[in-house]
Amino acid sequence: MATTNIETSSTVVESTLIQEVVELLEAVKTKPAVKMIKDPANIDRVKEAAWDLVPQLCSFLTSERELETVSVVCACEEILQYLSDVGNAKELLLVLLEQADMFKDDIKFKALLRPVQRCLQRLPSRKGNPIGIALETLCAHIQELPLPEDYQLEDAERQLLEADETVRRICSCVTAILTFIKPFAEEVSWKNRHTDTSKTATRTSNKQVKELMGHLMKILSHPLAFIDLSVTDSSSISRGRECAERLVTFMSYLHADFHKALVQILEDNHAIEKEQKRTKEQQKDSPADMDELDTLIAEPVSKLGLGTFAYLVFGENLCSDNVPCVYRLEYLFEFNLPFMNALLETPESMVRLKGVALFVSLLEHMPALTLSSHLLEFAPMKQLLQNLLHVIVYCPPKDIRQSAVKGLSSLLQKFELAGRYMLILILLKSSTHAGVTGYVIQLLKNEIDRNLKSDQLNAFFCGSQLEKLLRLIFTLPEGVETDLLDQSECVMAALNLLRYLVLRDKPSEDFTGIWQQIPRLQEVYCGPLQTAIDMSHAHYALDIERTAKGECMADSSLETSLSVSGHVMPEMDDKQRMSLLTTALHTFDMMQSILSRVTELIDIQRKTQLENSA
Amino acid sequence: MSVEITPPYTEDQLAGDNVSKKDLVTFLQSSASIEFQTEHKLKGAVKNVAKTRTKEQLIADYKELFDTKNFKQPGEDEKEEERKKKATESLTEKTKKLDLKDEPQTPPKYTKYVLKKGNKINYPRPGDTVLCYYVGKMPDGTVFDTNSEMRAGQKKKKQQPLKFKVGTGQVIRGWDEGIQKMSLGETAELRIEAEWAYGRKGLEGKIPPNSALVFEVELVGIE
Repeated sequence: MATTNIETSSTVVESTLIQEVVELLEAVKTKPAVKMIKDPANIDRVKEAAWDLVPQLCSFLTSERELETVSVVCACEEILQYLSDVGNAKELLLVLLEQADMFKDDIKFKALLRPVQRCLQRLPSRKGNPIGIALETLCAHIQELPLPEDYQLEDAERQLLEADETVRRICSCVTAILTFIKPFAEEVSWKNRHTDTSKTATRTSNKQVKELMGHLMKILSHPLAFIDLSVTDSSSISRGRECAERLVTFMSYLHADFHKALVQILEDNHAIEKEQKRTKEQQKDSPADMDELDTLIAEPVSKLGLGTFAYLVFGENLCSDNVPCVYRLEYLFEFNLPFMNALLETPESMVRLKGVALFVSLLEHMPALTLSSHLLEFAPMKQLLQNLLHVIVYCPPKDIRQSAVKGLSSLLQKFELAGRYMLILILLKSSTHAGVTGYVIQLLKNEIDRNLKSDQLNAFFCGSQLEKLLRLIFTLPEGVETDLLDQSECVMAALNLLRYLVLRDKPSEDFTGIWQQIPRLQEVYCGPLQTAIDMSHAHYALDIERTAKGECMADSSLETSLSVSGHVMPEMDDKQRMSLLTTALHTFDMMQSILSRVTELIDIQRKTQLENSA
Repeated sequence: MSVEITPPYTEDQLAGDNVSKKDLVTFLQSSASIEFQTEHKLKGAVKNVAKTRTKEQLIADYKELFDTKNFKQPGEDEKEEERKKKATESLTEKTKKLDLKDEPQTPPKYTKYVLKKGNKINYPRPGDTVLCYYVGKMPDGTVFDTNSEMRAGQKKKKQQPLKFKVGTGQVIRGWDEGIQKMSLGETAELRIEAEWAYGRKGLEGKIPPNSALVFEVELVGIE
C-alpha cells in the first residue's frame, strides 16, 4: 500500500511540473519555462516527468507555431535537448521515436534529430540494433518527401531548381538527417576500426556499417537522384551537391573500397531477392512464422540508389580515391552497366542526366579500340543501347539528348573493329527513328573512310560484310510510297554515303565492293527513290498551289487533330502551312540534287574506267 | 557443257503430303545452279531454308528451275566451297590479327622484382580469386593508392585485402599477368609500363597520361 501512495504522489508532482511548463509555453513565457526545467533543484522531477513531457513538447513543434512564435519552438527544442542529456536514454529514445513515427512535420522532424542522436550516444549498450530502428523511423520521413516536378530544364536553367520550394525542403531535411548520421558513420569508420578487434565488436560495427550504408543509399534513391547534384560553376556549390558530397564522404568512412562495397551489395541483393521469392512461395502453402518475418525486413538496396552512387563516384569523381587504381577501365565500364541502365530507364530528366553523365565519363579516359565485340552480346549492354536510343529520341531536354548522341559516337570508337561493325549493325537494325538511322549512317561513313585510308583494309568495312550493312541502308521502307519527308534524314545520309563511295572508290579498284552492287542499287534504290521524289514533289507543289488559291484541302473535311503529350495542337493557319510545304519542297529538291549527282558520278566513273582500259 | 535433269516429282506428287519441304530444298540445292539458289534464297542448312520458305514457294521454284533449265554445272560446288572458305579465312585472319594483340607472345611490358619469396608452390591461375595488399607509386615514389597504409605506431594491413579474379580482365594488364608469376606469400615489385597500366590517357585526377606505375604487391591468398 505504502509504495502505491508514493507513486501516486510523485505522479502528481510530475503532472504539476508538466502542467506548469506547458502553461508557460502556451503563454509564450519561454525563458521561465526553460529555466524551470533546467533548475538543478528540479532535476529529479524532470527526469521522472521526461517520458510524459516529450509528447506535450512535441505538440508545439509545428510549422504554424514556428511562423507565429518561433521562440516557443526554440524553447521546446532546448528542453528536448536538455532532457536527452539528463533523462533515461533508453526510455526517452522510445518516446522520441514514437513521436517521430506519429505525424510528419519538418519542424518536428528536425527538432527530434538531435535528442535522438544524443540518446543513442548515451545508451549503455547497443543491443537490439537501436541505431537501425532509429534510422528506419527517421528516414521514413525523408522517403516521404515529395519530389520536384520534372520541369525538363536544360543546361544552366537547372540552377533554377535550387529555388524550387520542394528542392529546398529536400536539401534542408537531407542536411539534417546527414548531421544526425555523421557521428555514427565516424564511429565505425575503417580508419579507426582497429581500436577494438574483438569478434563481437567487429560484428556489431559491421552491422552498423551495413545499416548506415543501406539508409544512405535510400536517401540517394529518394530524393537525391531527382535533384541536380552536378557542379556547373565551381564558385558556388548547390545545396544538393553539398548533401551529395557529405553523403559520399560518410560512405567513404564506411568502406575503404567502393568497388568491393558495390560487389557486396549486389551479392546481398541477389541473396535477398532469392530469399524473398522463396518465402513468397512458402507463404502460399503455410502462414509465415516469425523467422520468415525477420527475413522479410531485409530489403534489397534500390537500383536507383546504386546508380546515383555510381554516378557520384565514377561520373563526378566524389571520393574516387576509394576506388583502387588497379581496375581496367573496360571492366569498370562493364561493371557499371546495370547502374547506367537504372538511371537511364527512369523517365525523370534529372535522373537520365545522371545516367548519360556516368556513361560519358566512364568512356572518357578509355583509349580507342579497347572494348571487345563480345561485350555486345552481354544483356546489360544490349539494354544500354536501347536505353540510349530512347534518350536520344525522346528525352525532352536538348542537352541531354546531345550528350547521349556524343556518347554513342564515343562508344563506337572504344570498340575494336569487329565490335564497331556489330554495333553499327545493331543500331541500324534497332533504330526506328530516321534521324538516328541517318546519324548511324554518318558514323559508318567515317569508319569506311578510316578503313580506306589505312594501310591494310579491314574485312569488316568492305566486301560482303559491308554489303550486309549497305543492304539495310539502301532501302525504302515502303517502296515508292515511302514518306520521304519523314525519312529525309535517313535518305539524305544514305545518298551522301553513296556519293562518297562512288567518288572515293574507283570502279577499277573497287576496294569496298560498291561497284559490284551498283546495278542492284540502281534498280532497288535509286530508281524507286527517283519515282518517290517525283511523286512527293508533284503532290506538295499541288498543295502549295491550292493553299495559295485559298482552296480547302480535299481531306480537311475530316475531323482530325494532333496532340502532343496530351495537349491538342492548334490547327495550322495558311501562312504556317505554306512555309511548311515550301520547306518540304526544298527537302525534295536537295534529295533530287544529290541523287542526280550520284547518278552522274556513276556514269563518269564508269566512262573513265572504260577509257583507261581502252 | 549442259546438264539435263528429269523432274523427279510429278504435279500430283508435289501437291501431296509425301513430298516434304525438306525434300524439295534438298533436291533444289543439289540440282539448281548457285546463282539460281542465291536468287531464290535456297542457300544454307536444309532445315533453315525449309523454315523460311512456304511449300508453294518451293513448288514455284521447282517449276521455274525446269522452265529455265538453270541447273548446277559440274565443278560449281567446288568453286562455291572455295569462295566460302576464302571469305571465312579472310575474316578469321582479320580477327586473328586483332586477337594477336592479346596473345602473350608480345614481350611483357612489366618487370617483376621479388622483395620477399613466396612458397613457390601455389601460383594463381586464370579464374582464381586472389587477395592482395598493395602500394601503388609513381616512378618518383609518390604513393597514389594503397590498401596497406602504414601509420605511425600502428601495424599495417588494417584494411581488407583487395580481391579480384585473375586473368579475366578486371585489373590492368600488368597486374593480371604479373600476379600469375607470383606465389602465395610473395611480395614483389611490379614496374608496369604505361601501355599495360592506364595508357595514353591516364586516370582522371590520379594518374597522368603515359605514366609507368610501380606496385608493391603482397599476395596473401588464393581462393
